[in-house]
Amino acid sequence: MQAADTPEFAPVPSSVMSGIVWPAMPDMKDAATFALLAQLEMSQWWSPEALLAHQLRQATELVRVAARDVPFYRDRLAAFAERPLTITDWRQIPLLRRAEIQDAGEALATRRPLKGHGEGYEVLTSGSTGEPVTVHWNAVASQFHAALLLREHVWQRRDFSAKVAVVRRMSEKRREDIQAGKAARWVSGYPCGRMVFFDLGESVDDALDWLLHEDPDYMMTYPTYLRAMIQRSEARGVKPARLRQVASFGEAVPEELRKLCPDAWGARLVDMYSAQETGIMALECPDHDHYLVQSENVLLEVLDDDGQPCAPGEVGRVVVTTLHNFATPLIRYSIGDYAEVGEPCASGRGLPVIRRFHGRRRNMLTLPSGGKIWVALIGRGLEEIEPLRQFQVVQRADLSVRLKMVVDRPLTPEEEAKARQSMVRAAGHRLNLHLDYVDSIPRSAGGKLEDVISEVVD
Amino acid sequence: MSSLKSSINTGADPVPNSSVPSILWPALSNVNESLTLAILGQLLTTQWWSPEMILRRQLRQLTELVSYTAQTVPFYKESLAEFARPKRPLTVDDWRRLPILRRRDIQESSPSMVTRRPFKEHGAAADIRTSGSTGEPVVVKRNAVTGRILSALTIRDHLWHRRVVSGKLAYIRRLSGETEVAAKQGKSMPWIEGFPSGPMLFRDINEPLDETLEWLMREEPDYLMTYPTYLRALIQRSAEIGIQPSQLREVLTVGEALDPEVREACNDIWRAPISDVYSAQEVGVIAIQCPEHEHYLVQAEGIFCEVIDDGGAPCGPGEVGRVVVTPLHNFSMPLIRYDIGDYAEVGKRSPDGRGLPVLNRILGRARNMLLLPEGRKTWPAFGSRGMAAIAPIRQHQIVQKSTAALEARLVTERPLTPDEEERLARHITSRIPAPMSVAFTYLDEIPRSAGGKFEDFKTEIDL
Repeated sequence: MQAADTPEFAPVPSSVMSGIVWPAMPDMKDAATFALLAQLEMSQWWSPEALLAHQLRQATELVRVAARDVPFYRDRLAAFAERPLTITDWRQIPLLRRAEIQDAGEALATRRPLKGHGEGYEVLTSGSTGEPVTVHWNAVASQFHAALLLREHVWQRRDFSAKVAVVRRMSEKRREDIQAGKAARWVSGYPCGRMVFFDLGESVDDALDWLLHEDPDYMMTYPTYLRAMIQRSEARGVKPARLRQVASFGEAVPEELRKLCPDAWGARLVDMYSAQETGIMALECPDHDHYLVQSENVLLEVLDDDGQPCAPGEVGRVVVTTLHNFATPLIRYSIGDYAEVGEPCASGRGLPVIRRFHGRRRNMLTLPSGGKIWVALIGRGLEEIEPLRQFQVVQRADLSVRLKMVVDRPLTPEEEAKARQSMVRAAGHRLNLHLDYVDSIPRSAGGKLEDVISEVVD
Repeated sequence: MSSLKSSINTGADPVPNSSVPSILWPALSNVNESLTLAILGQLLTTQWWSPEMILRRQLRQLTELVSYTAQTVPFYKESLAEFARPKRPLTVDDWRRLPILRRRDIQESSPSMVTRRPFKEHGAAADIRTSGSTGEPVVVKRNAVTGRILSALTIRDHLWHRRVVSGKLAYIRRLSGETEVAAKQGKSMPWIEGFPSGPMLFRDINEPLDETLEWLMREEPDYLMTYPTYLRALIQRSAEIGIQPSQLREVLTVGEALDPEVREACNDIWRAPISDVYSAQEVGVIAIQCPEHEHYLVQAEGIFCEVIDDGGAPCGPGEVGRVVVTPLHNFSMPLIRYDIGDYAEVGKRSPDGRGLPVLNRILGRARNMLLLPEGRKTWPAFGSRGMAAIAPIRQHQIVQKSTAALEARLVTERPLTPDEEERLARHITSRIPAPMSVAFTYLDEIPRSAGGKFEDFKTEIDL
């Protein structure tokens, strides 16, 4: 059981009932979120076996309905739709590739929306790989999403009265909502502090100026953008005064950033593993430096190249099933990311542990030997090169590597030599390296940026 | 624990009923049950708060209650005048200056204790009539909000004690209304709201003991809920005739002070642990047995519970005092610092880390059983309402002097007429299954026992 280790963390939801302030009696919508959260409060302590049993019960229903109502799955899942699924059955279900989602189009959407699930709406995701996919979400999927967002705030014991700054790429609709003062609260169902937005552009300096001006308690943004902001803040000798924590999402967190953020800004970095098409898949453990899979929302597998589940310490492909989105069921979806499985959590929580989420396979460099490695670019000396504003590594099919650089002025020969040395340090190997000067390194439509992109085809 | 019991452990908490098709887990409950779960979710956290944090939140809720009460409840208009407006945050010192409400105050003034400006969204107020263990009938009003809190606390009790919600529960009590109908028709009801609950079967406490034992053997419930003194009689009888229910996982006791001997007997003879709840009809749940210990945890999220000595000062751990309670959410008929008539012993903070106040034991609330000439024991209920309908009776206590004679001790508003006495005697004897004489004694007050208990019935025969 959990212990009363932080009695000062004691937020009370907003109550809409006259005269009642504690315990709060929330409105219908918030009550539904809290009713889910109450279940999550308990289920996090269940044994892995109990969690899996409940997941399989929900997954069985998902498969049954998907085979019945979703054309794409009709034949594919026919053999699995007749009986309660065991984990052995489950592992025989074919994986769903991103390309298949793109090809399937509307064939992946349900033909018979379920009563009470709300109207479906489209979510378009460019993803970091630049291959757009469209999936449908509905009120039920959003309800689970809201509960998990709340769980994260609770796990991280955030001060709900604090001010939050969000730096991200925003859709047209979100921009309009914000301008109309309709921005969502950052903690649903609780009295909470202000939330301010910055629509991520290319000028990191503008974002930094804005951040200094707003002086928030928490910031939410993409890891690579955070890194760029920290680098600029260090170069300019300024930093946000009150920032306590940065919540990152949307990209794999470069390992060095976990240290850089507290060192430079005095703020802890807390990451969330999520994707537009799946919602939240894993959150950082409140007590340890690892992630806990949100098994109440997704069935997440980490598989080796033979499709076998990875053991603690092993790295494999992330395969995810969204358990409650019946609008576009994603069943054993190979999302393209890699993850390292962790040992069971010492906190006693039964949720599966992911030690680290790595980027995608295309974020790995291929060595001349054929081996693949992830490289961390920061902390190797690159950031010490004065005029270097932004950089990205691209590996071509012939294994040659280009370091793209946005600079204030051309590098001196000494600086170029230093850049080369940094790359060797980062890769741990000699590389066929070219230095490219470019005007800009654009982010994807979703606002994401990849440090390393490999064009090598497996 | 028997091997049977220890083998039943699902390793997971129960999952609520889902109201949305194809969503099985986690469940999406309907509107009402979501609100209960939303409260329950808060209780999962608040139990671990420090005592200071809990008190702070209680005072905030009490501030709302007291301000509203001062403004809208005639009975409190003067005594709470200083808190009416502007609303100012109550302190513990403010609180302790507030007058104690006696049971007699409610009897005399209950119409003026009802709010003149009810909150619509709290739902319609319904009467709860209770004779209580002291035999002075009171009527209080409750509403949908207090019902919601009660549901959440009831579910907390089940979760704390890790009950298997699909299990069968047998509830032996005095039946009336829908429970009486259900028992007659052999129908069951769910026993845990909003969850895939197993059946709850009812049986009247006045059915012959042997027949009730046979019924238990037939039904083989997983859980039995009843009064401690009745449980004692059941266990004794089952030991005498050498039969006992075999599936029982736990016995839930309610309604009376639990004699430690009953707990022991239940463990020794029936091999079932007891889990006790301290509640009263007019205020709801007061304390629930701790999931880890035999002491009670005050349900501080629903009620403010004080234990005070004769001088009105709060009792410390190990001390016994009067229980004074304030339900935090009853805005239909606020009961502020209500002396419920029980005595309890205050405990030290629970070693499991929970910050809820601890009561070591609850005294009072005992009702004894009536011994019939043939040696059978029965559970007498003389009906406070029925008696009050015959004559202006303030308080009553029926004492059994022998297997042929009862004494009716009465506190009345005026001397009774011979006709009223005769009708009362008829009423009393009609409620027991054997002929007995009734002698009347009139008193200014019926005193409590040395231990602070009051019984509306007691027998002087050594059972």
